[in-house]
Amino acid sequence: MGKPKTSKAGLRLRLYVAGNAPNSVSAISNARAICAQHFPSGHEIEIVDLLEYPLRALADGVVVTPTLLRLSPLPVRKVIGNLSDVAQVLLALAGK
Amino acid sequence: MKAEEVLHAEDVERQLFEAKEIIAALLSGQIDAVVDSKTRSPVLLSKAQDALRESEERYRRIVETTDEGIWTIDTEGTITFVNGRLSEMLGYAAGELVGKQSSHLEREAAQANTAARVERSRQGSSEEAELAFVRKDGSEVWTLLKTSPIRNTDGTYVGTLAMITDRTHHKQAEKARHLAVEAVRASEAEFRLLTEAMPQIVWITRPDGANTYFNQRWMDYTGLTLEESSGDGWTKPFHPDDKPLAWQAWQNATATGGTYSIECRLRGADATYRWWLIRGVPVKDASGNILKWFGTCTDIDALKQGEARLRESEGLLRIAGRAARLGGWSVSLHDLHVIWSDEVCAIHEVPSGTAPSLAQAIEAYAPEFRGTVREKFEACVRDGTPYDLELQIVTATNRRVWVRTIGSAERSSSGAITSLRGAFQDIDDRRKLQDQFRQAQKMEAVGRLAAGVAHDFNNLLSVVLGFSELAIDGLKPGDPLRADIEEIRKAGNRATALTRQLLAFSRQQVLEPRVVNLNDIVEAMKPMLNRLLGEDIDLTVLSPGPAGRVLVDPSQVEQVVMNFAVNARDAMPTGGVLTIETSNVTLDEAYVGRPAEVPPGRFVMLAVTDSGLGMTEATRARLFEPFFTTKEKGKGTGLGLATVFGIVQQSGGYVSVSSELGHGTTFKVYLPRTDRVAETSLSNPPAATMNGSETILLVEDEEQVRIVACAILRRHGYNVLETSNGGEAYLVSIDFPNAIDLLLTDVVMPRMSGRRLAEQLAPQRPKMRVLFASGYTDDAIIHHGVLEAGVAFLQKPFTPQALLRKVRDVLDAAAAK
Repeated sequence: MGKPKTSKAGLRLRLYVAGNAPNSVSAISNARAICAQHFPSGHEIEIVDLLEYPLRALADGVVVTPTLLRLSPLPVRKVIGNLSDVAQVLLALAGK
Repeated sequence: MKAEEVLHAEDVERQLFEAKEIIAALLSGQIDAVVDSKTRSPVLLSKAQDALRESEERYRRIVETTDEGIWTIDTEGTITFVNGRLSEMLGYAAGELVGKQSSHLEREAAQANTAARVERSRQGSSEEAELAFVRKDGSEVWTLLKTSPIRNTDGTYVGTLAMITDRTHHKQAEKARHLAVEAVRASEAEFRLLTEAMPQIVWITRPDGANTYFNQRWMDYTGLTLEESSGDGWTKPFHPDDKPLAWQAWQNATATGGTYSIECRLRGADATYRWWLIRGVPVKDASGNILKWFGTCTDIDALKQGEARLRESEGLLRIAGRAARLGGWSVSLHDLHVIWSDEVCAIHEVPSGTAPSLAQAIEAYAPEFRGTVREKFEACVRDGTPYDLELQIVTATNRRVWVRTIGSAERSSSGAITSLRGAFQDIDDRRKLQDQFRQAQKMEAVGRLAAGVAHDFNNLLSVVLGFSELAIDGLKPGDPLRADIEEIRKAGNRATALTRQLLAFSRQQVLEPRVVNLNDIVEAMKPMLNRLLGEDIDLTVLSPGPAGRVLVDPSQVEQVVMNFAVNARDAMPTGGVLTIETSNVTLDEAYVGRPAEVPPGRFVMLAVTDSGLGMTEATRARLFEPFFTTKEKGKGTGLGLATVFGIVQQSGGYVSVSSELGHGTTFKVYLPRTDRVAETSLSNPPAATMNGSETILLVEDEEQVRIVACAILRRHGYNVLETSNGGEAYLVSIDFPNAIDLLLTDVVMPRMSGRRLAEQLAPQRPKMRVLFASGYTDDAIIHHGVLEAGVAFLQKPFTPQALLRKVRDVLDAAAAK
C-alpha cells in the first residue's frame, strides 16, 4: 500500500497491468496520454504489476488486467481494458 | 435492512456492470491476465490467447485459401460456418449463407438424401459422394462432397463439417471422354462390322509389326486362332520364298512411312498356297509418327493364275509365231495407227515395236505390189471384203521377201468398221520351194517329151547322118552334089546336138561318170576357152588348193563350163574379166552365206564369175528354164543354162547364182566330193585308125539304122553279121563257125533286150566284147541315166565317126587286156 506522492493533486489513479503484455502496455500509454491532455495540472498514476502484487489487486477488487482505478476523488471508479476508448475513460474519470 | 438491501442492490448492480465490462473487454481481447479466484494467483492470458489466435489464424488461412468449399452445420442442419471459396463456388456474398438450412444448397429432389446424410453423420459416419449443388442463380455445380461429424470433447455430436470440390470441369472432361469412348466404341463396332463384311482379310499392326487385329477371314483362311496370329504370329503362313521379300517391303514401308504393298503366297488351312495382294497404310499422329498400320490382304490367286496362263499362252504364241514366221497387225481406222507384232517387225527387219504409218506400211511392199495392196486394203475398209494375198516386200536391208498378208475388218457393235486386223507371214522359203517345184515340173514335162521322141528321132538322125556320110564318100571331089549333101549332114549334126541338149536338161541323157579332179578338167579347157572368149575378155583360172575329187562325166562338166563361158562372153560384149575358180567347201547348217538351194555337205565348188551386165530379178527367176533366153532371136536356143542345171542335178550337185544388174554374175556349181581315187586318164587316147577287119555281130530292130550302121562298118573293113532281133542273133552266133569279136546291139528291142542277148551269148563266146547302143536312158543297162560301170555304150543318134571310134575303142581295149 503506497502513499500518494502529491496530496494536493485532485486526481489519483492506480493502473493494474500484467507485465508488458500488449494490452497492459497500451493501457499505460493511453492512461498517460489522456491524463496529460485532460488533467495537466494535477494527476497521479500509480502502475501496479499484477504478476508481482496479485494480493493488492484482490484487495482492490481487481480480477483482470489492465484495470484503471480512480482512487480520488471518491467514489472509486474502475475502467477495464486497454483504455483505447478515450470517451469511456474520461466519463469514468470525470464522473461522480 | 432496507438500506442494506439498497446498498446491496447498488453493489450488485456495480458488480454486474463490472462483470459486463470484463466480459466485453474479454470479448474484445483487451484482457492480458486474470486472477484465479481459487488460487489467488495471476494467470497471464496473452500467451494462451496468442497461441490460440495463431493456430486459429493458421486454420483460418488454410480454410480460406483452400480450393474446396467448406462449411459446418449444427445438429439442426443450420449452416454455422462458410469459407470464402464455398460462397464463391455457389455465387453468394460472404456470410450470406450462415444461418440458412444446408439443404437449401441442394436441388429439391436431392433434399431427402441430404437429410439421410445428416442423419448418418449424426450417427458418426464420414462419407464421400458425387453430387450437384445449386448456385444462387439456380445453375448446378458438380462436386465431390466429403462430410465428417463434429463432436465436442465429451464426444457429443454437435454438427457436421462438409467440404466440396468443384468437379464441373472434371465432370465435363469426363463426360467428353465418356462421349469419345462411346464414339470410339461405336466406330470400332462399325469398323468391325465393316471388316467382317469385307471379302478381304483386314489387319492392324503396331508400328513394330506386332499384330493387334485380324478379321474373321484371316482365321478362316489360315486356320490360325487370333492368339496364334497376334504379335509376329502373322508371319507363319507366309511362303518361305516370299518371307525375305515381305520383310524387305515392310522395312522399306516403315522406314519411309509409305504404303506397304506386296504380292505373296499365304498358306491356307488346307496347306495349299494362294497368291494374295497385301497392302498396308500407316496411321500417323499430328507430328507424323506412325501410330499403327491398317491393312488388307486380297486374294489374287485366280488373277495370278490367269496371268500365268496368259503369259504361258502368249509365250506359246510367240514361239509358234517365231517358228512359223507369222505375226499379226492392226490398223485403227480412227487414227490410222498401225500396230505390228514383233514377228511382223522381224520379217521387215526393223526393231521390235516399230510403229509405221499406214503409208510406210504400204511402201514396205515391192513397188509392183503396192497398187494391189492399196486396192485390197481400201476395199476391206469400204465394205469389209477380206483379203489374202501373196506378194513381196522389200525389207530394211533391201531384201525381197515373199509374204502372205491376210486382212479382215473388225466391226463395232453398231456394225461400223473400226479397224482392220490380219496375219502376216514370211513365206519366202515356201515360195522358193514352190518355184523350184514348178521349175522341176516344167523340166520333167519337157524331158518326158524329149525322151518320148528321142528314141525314134535318134534312129532317124542316125540314118540321115549315116547315109549323108556314105553319099559324100561315094562322090568324086568337085561333084556339085557334094556341097548339098554336106548341108544335109550339117543339119543332121545340129539336130543331133539339139536332141542331146534336150536330153541333157531333162536329165535323160546317159552319163559316164568317172572320178576326176575338177582342176584338171578346167586346166585342160583353158586354150579352148581362150579361143572361145576372144581377146577382149581376160580369163583367170584360180585353184587355191588341190581341189577335191568328184564323180562326174568329164565331158558333161566340160559342157557346163563351156555353157557358162558362152553366156559370160555374151554378157560382156565390150570385154571384161572371166574368173573360173575351183575350191573345196564344207557347208554345215550354220554356214553363213550357204545358198538356200544347197544342203549341208562336202563339195568341190566351181565358181564362174563375169564382170558383165548382170541380170534383173525377173531374169534370174527364169534362168534355168528351157527355151528362156535374153539373147537376140536366133542367137541362142535357151537351152544352155537349162542343160547346165540338168547336168549338175544329174551329177548330184547344185547350182546357185548371184547377180546384180551392172555388177556381173557369179554361178557356183557345188559337186559332192568323193574319197575314191581318181582315174588316171580323162579319156582314151583317140584311136589311130577308124578301120578294122574284126567280125561284128550287129543287132538292130530299126531297119534303116541297121542298114546304115552295117554300110559304115563294112566300108571300113569290118565283117558284119547283120540281124534284126535277139533271137536271130542267137541263131547266127550258134551257126557262125569263126570268132565274133564284138556284139553291137541296140538295148531296147521287142521280145529280147540287148542285155539279155549279151548274157545268153556270153557262155558260148566268152571273148566277145559287147557295145550297147541306145538313145534311151531308162533301160536295162542305164539306171536313172547313169551307165553301169564297165559297160561300153554308144549314144544314139550317132555319126559314122562316133560309131567307128567307139567300135575301135572297145576292140582295142579288149586287145590291150
